[in-house]
Amino acid sequence: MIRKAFDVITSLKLTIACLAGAMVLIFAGTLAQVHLGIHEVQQRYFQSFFVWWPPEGSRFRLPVFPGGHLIGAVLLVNLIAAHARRFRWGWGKLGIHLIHAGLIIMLAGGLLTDLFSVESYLRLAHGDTKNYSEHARLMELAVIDTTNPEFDQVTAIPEASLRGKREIAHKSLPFRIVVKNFFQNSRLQMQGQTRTGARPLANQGPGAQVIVEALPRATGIDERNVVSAVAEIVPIDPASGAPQPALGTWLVSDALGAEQGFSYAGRTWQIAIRPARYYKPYSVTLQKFTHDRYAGTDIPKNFSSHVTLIDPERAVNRDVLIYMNHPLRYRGDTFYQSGFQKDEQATILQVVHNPGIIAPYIACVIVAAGLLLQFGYHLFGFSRRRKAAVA
Amino acid sequence: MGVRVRSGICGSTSVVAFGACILLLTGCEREDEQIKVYRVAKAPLQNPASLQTPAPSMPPNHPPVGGGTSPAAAPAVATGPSSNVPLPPHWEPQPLAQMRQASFLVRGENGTMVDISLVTLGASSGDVLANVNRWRGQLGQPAITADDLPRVVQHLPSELGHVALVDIEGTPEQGDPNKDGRIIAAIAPAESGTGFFKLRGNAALAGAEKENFLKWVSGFRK
Repeated sequence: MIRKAFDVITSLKLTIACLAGAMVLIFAGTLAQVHLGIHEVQQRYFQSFFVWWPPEGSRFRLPVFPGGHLIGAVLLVNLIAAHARRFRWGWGKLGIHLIHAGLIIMLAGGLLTDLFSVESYLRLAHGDTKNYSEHARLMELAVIDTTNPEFDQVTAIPEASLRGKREIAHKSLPFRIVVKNFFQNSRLQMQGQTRTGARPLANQGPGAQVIVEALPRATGIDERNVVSAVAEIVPIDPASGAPQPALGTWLVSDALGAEQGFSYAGRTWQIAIRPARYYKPYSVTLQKFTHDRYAGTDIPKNFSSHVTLIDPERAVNRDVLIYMNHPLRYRGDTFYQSGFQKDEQATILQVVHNPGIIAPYIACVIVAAGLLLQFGYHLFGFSRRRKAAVA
Repeated sequence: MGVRVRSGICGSTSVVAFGACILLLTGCEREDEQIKVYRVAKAPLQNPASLQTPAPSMPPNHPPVGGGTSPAAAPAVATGPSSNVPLPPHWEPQPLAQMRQASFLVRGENGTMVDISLVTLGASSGDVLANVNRWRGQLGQPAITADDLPRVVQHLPSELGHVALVDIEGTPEQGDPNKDGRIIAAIAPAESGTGFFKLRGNAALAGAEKENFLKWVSGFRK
């Protein structure tokens, strides 16, 4: 049985099938971008185990095609297994082995990057100091216990957990959050501003006067969804674990822009939907953003951010200039100059945390060395045979 | 002649096991798909030391960027858009939470405190009745109608133009009277966005700070 599986795994037909599957997946994913947008397609087609049908709406989902994770992983296993099976040591094969090793590192690095890398953004106005960056698209429901005068305790619930009208319970919360409605994209209007006759879905906070209109998912690269949800807070009896009468229903939305507060069991809480945050053990202050143009034109010449990096743990306090192709690399994060606010009063830095960043470089060096060795070996062999023939 | 160094059932077993590990790895839940719990200090982030050091420079052959010298050290917490009126010394600047352009805390006796903030939202968010009712709701007070509005809203002379001022008292259910009990708020609508100036906290301390708050609001310009 194991030997049969091994035969399949090491089969070159499997390699061809994976490569063909990858081509079909890329083609289908490219077409799907028209309706779903690039980010959603990346998630559904390439950063998934299977492509599911129907994608939303129905309770039942069927896997209709292997996703990028599955094809990449099978290809990686196939490459390793086939190489292990056919491995024969010899100096003449060293180049081939190195090329295979490079490809394996490249594939494994891609998988690592896909699984563990995080891309976020840091927007800083002049003089701003921040110790966190924010995701460009992913949102989170932040439930903040503000009772302690020294610190806030944040329970950050990812956007994915809000989908599907779920009930969310966590040991850090003395209540459950029942997601009554979830809007991937929405528009908020004051109750008096709409004639649709719709009624507010919330009964607490500013949401009690706000109508939520569901909008189609944003598909453009520069478009952004306004994520909204209606959440009911249901206290839990600590002794019995039984649900108590609900405190109320709140509308939480990226469009509201500020936290909403409530009190329960002698503690004060805030609740808000906001871009997913990634806190750092250090802070960055924008001292100056500079945008130069060529004289007499509006053509950009340079833009750069002069920031101060402060890390109390490592006693670091230094100034850094971040500009095109000169990022700041610190504690596994890379800060790239990404953009700026139109009035040039704020800079936007892209923050990339990628534990697999070094893999492609190593892979390229190993593959290049393998190619050189392999071609060199054949070249010398050919040259030697030719000399012998001439002699 | 090459030497076969790996073959047979042992090799195949380990490769199958390795493959299974890879497949399991692909099933890992990403960190950003899990609920996270963490603490965030309320104290302001450490200020950059005064920038006596020169600004970092580009490589020697890089075209120059910008002009001038390094700016003065910026505070870790901003004190908001410019008000002409100096801030009272006992207003403690706070870290700027989302959307807050200014944030202060005033501590009174016996643990009482008030929170002062300035938030600017879109121009369409300036509906006075809706906001007054939102604040009344925060203090456990019933909503009012448009007919009641003239009785509740005052007008504050300011260079910001027509500024609506409300003063609401009430204690929310399970609220802490040391930190809650009164909201004094001003709404300054403008084409570019509506400014919400808000003072909320212990009722007595809020009353004592009302004059400072109104001076601060009045000191803003368009």
